Amino acid sequence: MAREGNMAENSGTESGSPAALPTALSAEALRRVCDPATIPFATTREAEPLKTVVGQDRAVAAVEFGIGIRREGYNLFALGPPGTGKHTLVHDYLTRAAAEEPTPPDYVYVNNFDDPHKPRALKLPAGRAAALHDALEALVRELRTALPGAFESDEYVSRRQMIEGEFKRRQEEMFEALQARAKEKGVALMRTPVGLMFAPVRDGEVIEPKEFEKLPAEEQERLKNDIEALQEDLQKSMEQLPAWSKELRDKLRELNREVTQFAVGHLIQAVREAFADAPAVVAYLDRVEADIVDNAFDFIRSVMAQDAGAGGAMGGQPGRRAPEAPDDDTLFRRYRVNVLVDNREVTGAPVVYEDHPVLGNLIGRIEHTAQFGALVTDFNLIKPGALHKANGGYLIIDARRILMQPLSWEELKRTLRSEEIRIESVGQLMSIVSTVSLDPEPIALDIKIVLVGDRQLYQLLCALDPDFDGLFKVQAEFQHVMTRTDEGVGDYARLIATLAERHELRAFDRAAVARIVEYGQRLADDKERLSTSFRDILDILRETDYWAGRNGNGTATAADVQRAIDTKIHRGDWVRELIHEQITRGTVLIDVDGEAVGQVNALSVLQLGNFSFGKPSRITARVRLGKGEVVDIERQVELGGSLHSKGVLILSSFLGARYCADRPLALSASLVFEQSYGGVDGDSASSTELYALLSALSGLPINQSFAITGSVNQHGEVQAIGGVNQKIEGYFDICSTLGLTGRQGVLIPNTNVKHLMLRHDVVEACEAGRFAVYPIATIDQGIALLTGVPAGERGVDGVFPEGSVNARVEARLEDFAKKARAFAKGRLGPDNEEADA
Amino acid sequence: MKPAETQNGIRRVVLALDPGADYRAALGEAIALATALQAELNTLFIEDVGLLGAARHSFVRRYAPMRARWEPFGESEIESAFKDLAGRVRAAVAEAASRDRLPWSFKVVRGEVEAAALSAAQDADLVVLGAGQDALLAGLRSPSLARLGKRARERSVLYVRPKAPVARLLVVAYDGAPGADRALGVAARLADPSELTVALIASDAKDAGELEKQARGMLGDRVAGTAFITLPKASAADLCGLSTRVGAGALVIGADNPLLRNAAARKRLDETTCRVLVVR
Repeated sequence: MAREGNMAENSGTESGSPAALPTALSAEALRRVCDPATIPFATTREAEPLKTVVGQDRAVAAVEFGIGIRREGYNLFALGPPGTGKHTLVHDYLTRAAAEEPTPPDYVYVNNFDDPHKPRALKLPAGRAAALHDALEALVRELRTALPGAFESDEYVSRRQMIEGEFKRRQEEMFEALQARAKEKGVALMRTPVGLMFAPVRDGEVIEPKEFEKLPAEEQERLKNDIEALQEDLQKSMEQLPAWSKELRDKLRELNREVTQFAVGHLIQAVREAFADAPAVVAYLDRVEADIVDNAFDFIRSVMAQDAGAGGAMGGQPGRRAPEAPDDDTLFRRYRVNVLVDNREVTGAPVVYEDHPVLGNLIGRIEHTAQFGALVTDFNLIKPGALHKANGGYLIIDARRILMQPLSWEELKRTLRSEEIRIESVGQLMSIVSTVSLDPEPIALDIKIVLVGDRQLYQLLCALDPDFDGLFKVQAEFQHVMTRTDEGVGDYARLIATLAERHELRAFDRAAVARIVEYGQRLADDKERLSTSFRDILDILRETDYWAGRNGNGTATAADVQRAIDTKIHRGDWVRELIHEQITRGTVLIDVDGEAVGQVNALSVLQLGNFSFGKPSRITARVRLGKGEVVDIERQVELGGSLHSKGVLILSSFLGARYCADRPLALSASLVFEQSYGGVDGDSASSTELYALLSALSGLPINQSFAITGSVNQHGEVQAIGGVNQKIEGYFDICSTLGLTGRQGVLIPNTNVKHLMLRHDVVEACEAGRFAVYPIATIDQGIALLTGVPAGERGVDGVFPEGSVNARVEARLEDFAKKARAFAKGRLGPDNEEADA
Repeated sequence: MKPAETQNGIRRVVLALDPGADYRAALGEAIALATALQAELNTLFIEDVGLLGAARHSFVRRYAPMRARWEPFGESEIESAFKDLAGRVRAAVAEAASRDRLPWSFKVVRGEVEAAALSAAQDADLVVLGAGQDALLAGLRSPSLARLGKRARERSVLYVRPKAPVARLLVVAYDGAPGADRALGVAARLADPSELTVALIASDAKDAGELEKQARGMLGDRVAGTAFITLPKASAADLCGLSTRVGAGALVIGADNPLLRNAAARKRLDETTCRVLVVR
């Protein structure tokens, strides 16, 4: 085996010429073990909690900048993969910053006495809204007692009777005078169901028409004339009545105003003095006072209606509300205070997270109540949205959620642009409702919005929404990995301790923490990086806690962590088992031993949900005389993606450039992923395909103990690919099942060595010489390892060494070229020979 | 015998409605009264012959206050108006009585209002006569003891006044006569003792003491809270003044009270703003 030759300890890829045979990687190169001794505490219980976020320096700086800058449009968009702590970091930083900021003012909606459809917004010093609400409630309660008291006072009754008596006296005098004049003339004024009339009378009784006919003609005429004159008098008198009635009403109203003013003035003054520091409130109280004075009688009617039982047999109908009396709620609702924002309990600026940003939850809504089949509303039914609650502070919204809600995103942008919160219903916004609704006075907005979302969403918004750039100028990008340094490992360990404490998990010992650090490296797929997917870390902590409990361990151990990892994998790997079983049972043809020409084991990664695993596939290549094309059969049947096709096209270029620089590439080759019935994409199999082609062209068999991954460029350099750990483990699992021979191994790109964080069992097998991983820098290294024949470098004479892989390939292609030329001559005939040359 | 009958003898209340009056207020008073007395309510709608006679004159016109003009008017119009109004009154009585679960009846008679009411209500224990609170025409006509003359004493009658105070307080004129006893009994039925003021018609303290003792005996255990005031002179003016001073809703007086035999006194009683209940 090649690894038994002159191998460097870790990696032979850097040493020697590009064609030097690679050496197998050492155990240290296959996995970076975290030494428990590097963990700065014995158990997480002893660790000092972490106050900062690990590995997100860029995001932290951006968030700090975003919080600090107070300019229009400098809202934040925190973007990054899920589970990287975006919400936690943003919330923690905002909370810390907000605690140092002033508490914003309270807001209430009150009645607009001039236009009730446009409720007024009042701003009050922080924490005072509830006091105003209570003060007005108390005022109304007081009014219910004070007003009736004032109107029942002897002074009021006396003055009212005086006014009414004057009116009555005037009216009676008018009628009495009229009746007296009528009586003098033998006429009576009578009332009928349909009005008044004058009729001739004698001894108090109406003179019947027959009797009237018997009167002398002169008498009849006189009576008729007198009646006509009296009618004119009555008309003139009656015309005065409306004016008198108005005068009476005016006088009574003035009296009521005076009494009300006296009764309520001191009550309102007390409230006014309590809110002297809020001029808008004082002005509002002036309007309340004026309205109460104007409508005092409604109060009295309401109270009287409620107390109607006092009417009794002689004064009313027991227990019955006067039908014209408005009810309490209707009367007093207009004096209520609808507290929209109450910052009594808030210290500093508010930090609000709106997890359901439908329009109503965002900008507030106007609710309605059903009354007699109609929907009605008033300022008391205005409900605040998240923008109100967070006004003066910070609002965190999940970007995907707000974009999924109709109108919410557009309304948020409009609100940010206008810097005021205007509550409108969906019906109003869509112009589909034309009924009268409320148009509440907008509230000035001073807020910092933090959207949290993924990178793709951010990029889509940048590309498709022209408003986005101007409104969200600060991009806080969260990374999915952090660099693994000694200091970083210490912080990572403290983070683990902090998470364990915050989520009330049992303590983790040093070895367990070290094992989780390794898990973080594996999640990052990089031995020089640590995953910042703290959600995944937290999941494994919780599951470890569970297994430690099951095992009766007060402190979680490395074994508990390993069990958590293993069971997590086990729960998700049924499909992997199924696929591997198809290989080990021979349903899917994969050779893990022996040799074959034009056949090679490739490796791919399947992602199923949260679980990914490696899967070997057989790639075969066939060659024949042709026009210089390498046919990607996957592409031909539309099972191959564009990246895969790109890889295949590179192969043509490589072959042509290396072996046929001065003659046509008279080759037709076909490549196929055997027994692949799904799609194939990515270029990680391009080096594998090239090995199959070189084998087919050279006729040299490939050692089937190997599986290969890696892409290749036009110069034959092998390039890094993704999922290297899963691929190696996938092939290892197959080999383990079929039996490790000690000859099996995986060829990986040299540049992927730093990504290796293989499972313990793989590392142990490699350490024991039962399996191997080879770093490959060039195609020449790979083909030499696979065929056991040197690749061969072109000599100064421009010729590859005799018997080398490259010499064989070049010879075969030259042969194809000759045959092609001969074929062309035969087809074109002797007359065209010169042209062909 | 039912307790109500034993205490006040009023089982049937007749509401006599003048077609020129606002019937709603009078109806409200009658309903409340019948409910308090546990009596049945008989409503008489009286088609005033005086109005009919007047309407027959070709030269008589009616003044429509709402349109503020004089319009032609005849017998057919007044007949039609009577019919319409009677229908509305009947519906209102039915609704109010059924709401308060009162036995009720409704009848239309034709004649001079007060006289027809007294004649038609032969078997009534109490007649309610009244104009309502028609502010515009309040001064035009009210039920009048003076107009009825001695007939005002033939039956128990409640004279409802326009703009009478809304109050439960009652003033009872008490001179020890049988009518006064009945008046006191009815008053005690209509109001709580604390809402009763008994005006003792007595020339000296001794007589007043005797009367009070007699009145207390009448009231029995319902006397607590009742106010007793002595009126040395049994004049209508004094009684009316007392009613005004205490803010009474009604003045209750026995039908055999000497004041009702005096035309001037009846006229003075007509002038008081509170209701007058004559109990026979």
